[in-house]
Amino acid sequence: MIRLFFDDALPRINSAEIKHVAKLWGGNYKMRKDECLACISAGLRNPDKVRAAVAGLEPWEKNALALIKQAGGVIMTDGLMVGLLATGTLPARYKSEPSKEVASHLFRRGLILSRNTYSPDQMSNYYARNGGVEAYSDARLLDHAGLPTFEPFSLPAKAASGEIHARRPQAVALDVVGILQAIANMGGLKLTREGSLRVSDEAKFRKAMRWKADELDVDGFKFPDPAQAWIEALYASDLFIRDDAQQLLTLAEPVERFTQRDYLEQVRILLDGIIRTQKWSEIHFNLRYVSDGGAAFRQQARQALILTLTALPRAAEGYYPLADFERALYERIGENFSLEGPPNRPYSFYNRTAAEQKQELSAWQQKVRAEWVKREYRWIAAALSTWLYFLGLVELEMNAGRLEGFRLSEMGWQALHPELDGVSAAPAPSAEDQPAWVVQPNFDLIVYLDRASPAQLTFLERHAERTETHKNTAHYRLTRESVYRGLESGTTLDELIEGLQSGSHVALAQNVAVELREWAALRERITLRRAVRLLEFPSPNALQAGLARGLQGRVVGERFLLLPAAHPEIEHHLINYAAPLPANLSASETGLIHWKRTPADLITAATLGKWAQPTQDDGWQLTRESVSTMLKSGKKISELLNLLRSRLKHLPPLLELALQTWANVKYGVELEAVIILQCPQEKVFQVILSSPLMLSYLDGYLYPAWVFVKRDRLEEFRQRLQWIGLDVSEKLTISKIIHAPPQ
Amino acid sequence: MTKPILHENLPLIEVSDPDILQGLYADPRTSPFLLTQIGPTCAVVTPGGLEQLLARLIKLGHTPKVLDAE
Repeated sequence: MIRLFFDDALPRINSAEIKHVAKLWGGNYKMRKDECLACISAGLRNPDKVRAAVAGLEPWEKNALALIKQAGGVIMTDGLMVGLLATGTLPARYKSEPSKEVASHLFRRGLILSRNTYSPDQMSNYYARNGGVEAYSDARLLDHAGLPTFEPFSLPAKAASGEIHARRPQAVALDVVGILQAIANMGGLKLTREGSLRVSDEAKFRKAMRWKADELDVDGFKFPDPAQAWIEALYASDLFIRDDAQQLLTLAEPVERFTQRDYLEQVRILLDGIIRTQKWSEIHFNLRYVSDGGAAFRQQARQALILTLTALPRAAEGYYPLADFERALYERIGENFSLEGPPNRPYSFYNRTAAEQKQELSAWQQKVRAEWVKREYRWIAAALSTWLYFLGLVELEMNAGRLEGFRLSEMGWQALHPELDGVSAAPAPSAEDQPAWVVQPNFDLIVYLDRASPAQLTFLERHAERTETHKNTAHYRLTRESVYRGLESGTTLDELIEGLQSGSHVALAQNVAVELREWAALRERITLRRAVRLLEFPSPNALQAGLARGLQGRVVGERFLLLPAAHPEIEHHLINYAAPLPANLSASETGLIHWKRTPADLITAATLGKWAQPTQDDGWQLTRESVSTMLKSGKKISELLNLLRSRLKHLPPLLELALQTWANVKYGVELEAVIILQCPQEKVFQVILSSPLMLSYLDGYLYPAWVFVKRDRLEEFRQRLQWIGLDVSEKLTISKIIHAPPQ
Repeated sequence: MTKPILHENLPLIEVSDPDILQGLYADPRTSPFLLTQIGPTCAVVTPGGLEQLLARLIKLGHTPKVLDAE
């Protein structure tokens, strides 16, 4: 819960309004604003006064505090209104009023403020159609708020005539463990730069859960977009930690710690999360007038549904007909709530007779009811058969494929009635691990869910692949991959065998134990170490001398010692591979690369050695052939260029151009021996170019002085020039290149 | 080089049999990730390439043990 306090906001409340607020704390209308502020702050600071103030509230006002507390300290006023209506405790005078009237009342009673920084007394927002105003209550008031109370329904339960569907707490726990373990196995879920879940990771998660993209079948009930639903619910339940730097969602706690909670707590956490989901929807409607896809209204609907279910009497024998229940819910909230926003009640009856007013109101009520039946009725059925059933909170009665009725399960009753915690026995998981499965010689496991503890289910999810789940049993298979995954998560082979054995009704088949040992041995063949500390000596003798002086470590090569965590007590150079390596190479235009300074790292030589040929002086020569060989193997020239750019102070442009052309980047030049007539005087250049006679000897020109002469008519052209009387030199006057042109 | 060099945060692959390492160097699916061989059973892995190498090894049927350090 967010702990917020009124103190900082109170001075910004209008002087006339603050007098109302002060009344809760013994103030009166004659007080000045500063006196009111002091009176309110003093009251809130005194726990006895707060307790007395809360005790003196009307039941529905107490309910308002209870609902704000349930919502985490902050609530949208439309949602608060719907919640109060669902409890059945809102006084009749408010039922035909918009939520701002209820909010204004609660504000003047000193129970809520708006989170609007500048106007904490602002209880209406014309633009906030999807939810009203964000309001909060002082944490000191909420500390004394209890649980919501309800006007009970007089809804009779009826004997079931159809087929009953129910989920055992163990089956629910198995699914929950499966979801968490799948995410743990994936190392978390990756996010896009915009912060939404990567499509590929959602697909991987679905695959791990063996869920189809569009829906999950839970005992014949369709659950749409299950991956989106539960990922969103886990996020809303604070079971994820979001790492923006790594763009990753990871579990906030190990799976084992979550499953150490009793079933009720697990279910309550997920229930809280699924109520708050925004994008996920139980059923898709074409909503015309909502801006956020109806998220705010779906959240209100889920909250109202939960409150209404809580207000139901215990149905120990029968089931509540769905039609009766939805009618009862409609009568509480239907004229103030829809999934498309609150229905607009007719408010102007100017110049109408009482009979006409009644008729108009009746027509509006019929229309609202008709729309409710088309939309909200279907949503209620979908909510019951998706998350409420998945979490094992309801038992459903089906008749000819239709949802006929329901009742809260034992788990549901206790989850929604925290006041009974410790009074009635919760459906507790097996406190002690006991035999709960049979491991067959073909590596299949049959798990009897009523006997399995959450710890055992977590153990199996971590070390075996679940193949099927039924109401009373789950089937797993031990595979090399699943055992490998389990061992990688930190289990030892002995712990694995002991865990399988302790949960099994019969002794572990010998072939299973043998195979497990073989799989574990395979894991010892290759070891990858992410970040070691390796000491490289100049010679094998130096290494031996170091060991003789007491250096600790494991020899992994004739000059290399793999070090433990402690820093070596020997003078050394340091190369840290977590940081960029220094630019300590030099390269010539011809592709000859050398160390510019040492020490040499263990990356560069091997990497360059793949692209270039070694030279006799410990350098490398890049050649068209050596580069082409790597390109043919699938490498990209950009990898080499990036390497050179990072490790050279200066990459010669000619070498860079050569590398690019070796990689088939096309740059064209033309090279041909040509005959040029240079005309230092522009007049001569212009005359020759403009002469029809001379043009027949020419191929082109380069302004301002050069003319290209046709090779086959050179002699004839020379004679023409002599005929003109020009002094024809045999050699061009060309400026020498002193500086390269600017690039 | 007279003083030893401490290579820190270096990714490494270690195998139980030299033949395994030779096989990995010879396999074009794994060799791009292997750099300096520092001993008969030990080689440097391309920095940033360890996860890819792990994925390739698993795809090839190996079940490598992954550790943070020594």
